[in-house]
Amino acid sequence: MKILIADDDPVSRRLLEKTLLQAGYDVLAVPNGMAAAEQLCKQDGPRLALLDWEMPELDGPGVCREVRKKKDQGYVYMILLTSKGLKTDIVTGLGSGADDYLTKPFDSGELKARLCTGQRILHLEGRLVEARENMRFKASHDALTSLFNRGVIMELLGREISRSRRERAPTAILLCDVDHFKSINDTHGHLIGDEVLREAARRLLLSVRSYDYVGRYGGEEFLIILNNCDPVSAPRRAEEIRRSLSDTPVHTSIGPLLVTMSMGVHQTANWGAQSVEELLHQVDGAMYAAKAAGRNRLSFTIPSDGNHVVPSETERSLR
Amino acid sequence: MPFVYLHRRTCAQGIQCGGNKVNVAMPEVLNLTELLSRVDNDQELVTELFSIFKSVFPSHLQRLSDAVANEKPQQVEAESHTLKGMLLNLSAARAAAIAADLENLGREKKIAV
Repeated sequence: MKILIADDDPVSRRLLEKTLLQAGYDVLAVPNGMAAAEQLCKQDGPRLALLDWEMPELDGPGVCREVRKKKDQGYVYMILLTSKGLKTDIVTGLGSGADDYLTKPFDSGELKARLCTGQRILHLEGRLVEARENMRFKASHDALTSLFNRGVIMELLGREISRSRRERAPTAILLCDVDHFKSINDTHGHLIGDEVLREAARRLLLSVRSYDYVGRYGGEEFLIILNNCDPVSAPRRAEEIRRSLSDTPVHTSIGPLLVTMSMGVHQTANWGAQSVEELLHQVDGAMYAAKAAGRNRLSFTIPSDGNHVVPSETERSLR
Repeated sequence: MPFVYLHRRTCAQGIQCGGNKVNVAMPEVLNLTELLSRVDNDQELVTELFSIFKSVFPSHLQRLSDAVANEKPQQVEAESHTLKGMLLNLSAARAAAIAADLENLGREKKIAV
């Protein structure tokens, strides 16, 4: 674990450094308070610190105050080291934001024990942060498929459209619906249905780039946003994504199942003034057209701005 | 030792009390056992620490002398405090005690030359 020691006395600094190196710490030694504050306020600076009280310019309590001002980073556990021993000094020291207090000359056993206490506190914070991140993930992702949930993918869609408009960049929107999903559930049961959705989600994620977004839009519907996807590449990429599901059967607990999807595709470099809802309505329409034309195929929205880029529908036959 | 001389110069009172010399037990000059236990018997480290001390002591002493000569109690306090810290770490109890006295005199602003 990284630890910072700050002491203007070079004998003390060297002694501390050696003691801590031997105890297995990764030591950063600085000779004054300004350097200490600078290091401790860094985003991934040391989380443990031993600060001498009396230092010129910025003393130990001063460093503590500076560090405590920064609330947007991980907790830094700070111990003040001093030859002062009066109760009022202890109160001042702890009041400035220090977590603990040791008098000099220190006993190395006690020092190490108190540092361990500090590590326990940091570990506790780590567990809390982890729990918070887990909750954040759960709140923004679908439990079954781990894709973005509907709320988040809609928000991302809004953001991407604004960005594309601003930068005049092309983006493709794909709305995918698993074919005959209701009959899969009715025939094989909902657990198999869940397996199919999980596998479909997995394959969709594998077929897109790291900067694309895939979300679970509805029960068996997925919304895919292909960022910076130009109208020439969009049909090819959409087709690849469609085939990622139809080319290989899905292996379920009851054996391999052939699963396909119908896809509505909207791609343009010219966004006009349509709202997100209007765009979704169009893609939805295209997706229904794909269903009507026989399923397991793509269907493109008809651009209303006259900039016709691709044919309105692609005919594919079921394998 | 120039350090002790400085102490005598700045002391407002000697260790005499009511005309009789009081036998104050003097702290020892150096407690090597304590020092070694502080460094987990690392003799190389002891040598290193003394060499660091030797290299910085002259400038500290100079600053302390200047502070006394220029009647700057706050500086006397600060320099003595630093020296005290170093000497305590080196288990040089007697010198550390002297430094502590100087620090107090500086704090109480009793540095009559």
